[in-house]
Amino acid sequence: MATIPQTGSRLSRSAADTGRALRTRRSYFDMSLLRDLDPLLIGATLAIAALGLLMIYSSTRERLRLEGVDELYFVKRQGIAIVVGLVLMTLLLAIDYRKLRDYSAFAYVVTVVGLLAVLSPLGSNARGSQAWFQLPGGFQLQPSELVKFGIIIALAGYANEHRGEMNPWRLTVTIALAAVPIGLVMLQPDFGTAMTLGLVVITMLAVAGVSVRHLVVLALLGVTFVIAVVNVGLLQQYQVDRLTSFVNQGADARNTTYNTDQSKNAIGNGGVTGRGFGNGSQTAGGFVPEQHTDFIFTAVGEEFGFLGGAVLLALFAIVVWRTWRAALFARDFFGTLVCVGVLAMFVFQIFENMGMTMGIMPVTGIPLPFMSYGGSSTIAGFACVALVANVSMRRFR
Amino acid sequence: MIEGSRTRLTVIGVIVMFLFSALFARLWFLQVASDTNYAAAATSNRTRIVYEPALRGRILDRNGKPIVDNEPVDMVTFDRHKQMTGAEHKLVVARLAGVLGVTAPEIQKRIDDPRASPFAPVPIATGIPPDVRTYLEEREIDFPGVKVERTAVRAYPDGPVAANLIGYVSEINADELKTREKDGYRQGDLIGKDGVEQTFEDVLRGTPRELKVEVDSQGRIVRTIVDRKAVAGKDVKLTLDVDIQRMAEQSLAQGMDGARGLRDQTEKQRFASYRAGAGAVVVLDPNDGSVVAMASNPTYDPRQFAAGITPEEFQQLNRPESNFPLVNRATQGLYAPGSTFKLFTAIAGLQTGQIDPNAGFYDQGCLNIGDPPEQRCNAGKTPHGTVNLPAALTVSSDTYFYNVGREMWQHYNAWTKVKNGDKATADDEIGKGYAIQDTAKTYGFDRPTGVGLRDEAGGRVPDQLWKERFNQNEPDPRQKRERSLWLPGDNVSLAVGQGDLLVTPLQLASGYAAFANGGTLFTPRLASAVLEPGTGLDQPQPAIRDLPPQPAGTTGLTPQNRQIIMDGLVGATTSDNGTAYAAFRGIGGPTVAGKTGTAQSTGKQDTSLFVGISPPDQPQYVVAAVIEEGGFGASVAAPVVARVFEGINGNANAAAVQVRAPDIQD
Repeated sequence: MATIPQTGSRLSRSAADTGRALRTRRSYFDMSLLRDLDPLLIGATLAIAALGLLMIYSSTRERLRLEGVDELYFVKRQGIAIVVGLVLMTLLLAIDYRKLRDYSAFAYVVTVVGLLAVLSPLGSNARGSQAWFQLPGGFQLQPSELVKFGIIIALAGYANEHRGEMNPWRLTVTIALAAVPIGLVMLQPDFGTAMTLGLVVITMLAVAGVSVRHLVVLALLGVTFVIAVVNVGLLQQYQVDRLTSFVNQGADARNTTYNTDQSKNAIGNGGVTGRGFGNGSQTAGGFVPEQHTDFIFTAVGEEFGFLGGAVLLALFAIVVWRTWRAALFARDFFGTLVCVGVLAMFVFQIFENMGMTMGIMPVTGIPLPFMSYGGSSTIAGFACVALVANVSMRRFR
Repeated sequence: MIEGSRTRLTVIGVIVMFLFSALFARLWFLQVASDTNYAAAATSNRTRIVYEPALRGRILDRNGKPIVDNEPVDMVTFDRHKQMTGAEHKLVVARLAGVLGVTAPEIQKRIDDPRASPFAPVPIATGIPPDVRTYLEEREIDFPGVKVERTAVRAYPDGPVAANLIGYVSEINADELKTREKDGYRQGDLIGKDGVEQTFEDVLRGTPRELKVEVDSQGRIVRTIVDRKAVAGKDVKLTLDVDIQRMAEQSLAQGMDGARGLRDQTEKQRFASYRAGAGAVVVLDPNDGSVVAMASNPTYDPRQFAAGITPEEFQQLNRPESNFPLVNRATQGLYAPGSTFKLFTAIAGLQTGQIDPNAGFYDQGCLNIGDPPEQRCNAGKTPHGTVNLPAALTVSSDTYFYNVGREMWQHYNAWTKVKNGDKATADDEIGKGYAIQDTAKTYGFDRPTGVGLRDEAGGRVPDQLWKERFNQNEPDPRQKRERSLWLPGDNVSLAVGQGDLLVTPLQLASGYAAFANGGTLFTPRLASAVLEPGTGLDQPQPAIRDLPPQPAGTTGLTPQNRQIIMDGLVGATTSDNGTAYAAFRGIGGPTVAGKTGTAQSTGKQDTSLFVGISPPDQPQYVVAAVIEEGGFGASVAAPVVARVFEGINGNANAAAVQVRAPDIQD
């Protein structure tokens, strides 16, 4: 901490640095930056993604075999998503994140337009949500996952511009701006993502210097809003169901208890060392609904047991720790805010998702970063890691 | 970085650490520290056991002729796991409905039947005609998920026979399931519900195939864990003779038909015909108690059950209008035996020395009983003149036996007076006073015979204790005391098989059999052996277990007493003043000894009874017939028994039963 210079003197120098860096980077990428690339962050992320591929294989293999389809169908598609994510990550690393700051308003507009488009007839409806763009080759794009990325950039840009002066007026403007994409996500409806976004916004505002009093008011408003939405009938019953219980697409009359019980059965069946890869009976039998997506952690729990679960938890802890560290050592405030946003997003998704599979959180459709099958969320996850790595890599210049 | 932001970042770091610790703790709790046996829950989650019934054993008659067999039939099934869209499913159901001639909702109801195994295809229709089978097989593409399979149902090779004795097989109900679950019965299993099918259920059933499989969450079989093969049920060889059984059923039905054409001549029902709504015929082999035939009328067609009975059809079988065809009158019907019971009164009198068989008694048609006197008369007050015991049996003199009952009651009365004095005298008196009841009990009349058929009635032999029990809830103490007394009238009624005495046709036949064989009471026997399952070829089937005769006691009958009584019974059918002379005249074959009975029944027309024994010296058969509201024993039951004997003697084409207008009284 002591190595960080005083804010005042840093500002002017940082502006000059930026100018020089932009000039040089136009011609070629400074390979020396790679020396400062965080190997722990990247390594942990890749390890989680690899484990995710294994678990997707375990949890879909038997079902696909019985249906006479390629057993690697889901694994291949997820592999493609990871490759795309890695390519995107490389591209994002090449661009100085401070350049993104200048495009934060643009990121905001793109985000909102994307969300509007998916609600229009351009988007397609699946499982009661108007949340997808159908792409060629049987792929889908889920803009609400990419919104996480956009909203972090946009909010970090706005708060950076007005740092130290987050008065009630600016706060109100910020909230209003954030409310537009969040509201659009809720219209899909995708309450889980909306909640993630809300938490990201509040956490970023907290670090941006909003007073404790206002934060408390904000948090209370948020909680009241959630309760009101769930209880007062602002949502349709099926939307409430999506929040309070994750409706499995295969079985129509299964309730929350069924999901949670099956999920806990699978995890509990793993014991200390697990049943071994490919030997999880609950996983092979497909007893846990949506196991390859939102309940992917149950496959880890059953096949690799407590040890496997703890290792995964440790890997996530490394990602979060390195993100937190990047926020702390970021060269500028924008970088700090970006990292905080990513941190809030990861932590909420990890806690909600794993907590849900272990029966301590309500069942909502939130994916486990890098693990759950799903292209958009995987790509968005890599993009977010790229942001953090970008900030951390350029912390000295 | 803004001052204060670092502090807030630190706070966020702490919160994150807390959240990760919570996840870690929860993981520890679920996988390491929890008491819940998740492994067991997981195992039961994925393991399923599928049962397939074994081929049920056959039921053979005493000559090895199959009475009940299994018949392969075509069954349409539907595989619920077949992947198809809702529209496709609807289409298949609609097509099936058209082919099978039922409505689509009915088909859907069968598909959704929760009783069907979730792992096997659901049966939709059984016993479909061959052309429907061909149609479905040729158009497999139009009927995805639909299969035609072979299954076995109960079959009756020569048509249904002895339905009430054989019983039927039907789906297990909730009560049976509760008691039978430990024997491996499952919802939807078939079980013997009545008769031999029920009595020998454990032998006939065999062991179902037990297929233990691992399934996925959709119920699809992933792996077979255990496949225990089915063991076919064993065959049961009955003591029944199917030809005699048919003759008995036919004769009973003819007799009942004939009775309905007779006018009831008794005072109460002067212008009515006999209703003859129900009846039974029992044929026993007195040498070992084997049931050779047992007919009950009305009866039912067990083929109704083989194909799966509808609730409407089943209700029809339990309605009063159809006179309860599921009730086996031979074991569940209770009747006053009337004069057929005189046999046992005679034995009681002879054994206790209260009847001198040669002493004459002047039967003037009526007799005064008790104090104040009450007049009891023969039917139609016909005087029979001087009769000794055999003659009294031959002509069925009520007055003779009234007198026996009256004299016995004197001893009963004497016992009640000396009961506090001389013990030897008291014992002697009570023995004489209750001689009829004691004899009746020796011959098995106060308890179920133990033949092994469901809900067998036990009969009723009344005495003072019974009267006390019967009237114990009488509120008026004086009435209660009076009604609890064993009065002379009670004993006199008992002596002629009336009053509160009730017997089943099987008890009656069994009692006569014990007399016929010289004094051994057998538990009536339905089957003689359990055999290895038949191969369908004409090969001898090795016996697994013999079912020997079951002597249930000796009666102390002396050959002299047997002879005296038998003379009277022979006279009843052979001498021209015998009550059943007309019925047995000219039937040919060995002599049949027998006794008629005409029992009064409160609120009903008289019950017609007859029991025959043949031949009298070395009896081979005892045949008892009882026809409810059939009138005189001589006019209906005796001709029925006569025709059954004709059948026994090999005359399969015997003329139909000729009921006789009651020219002979009783």
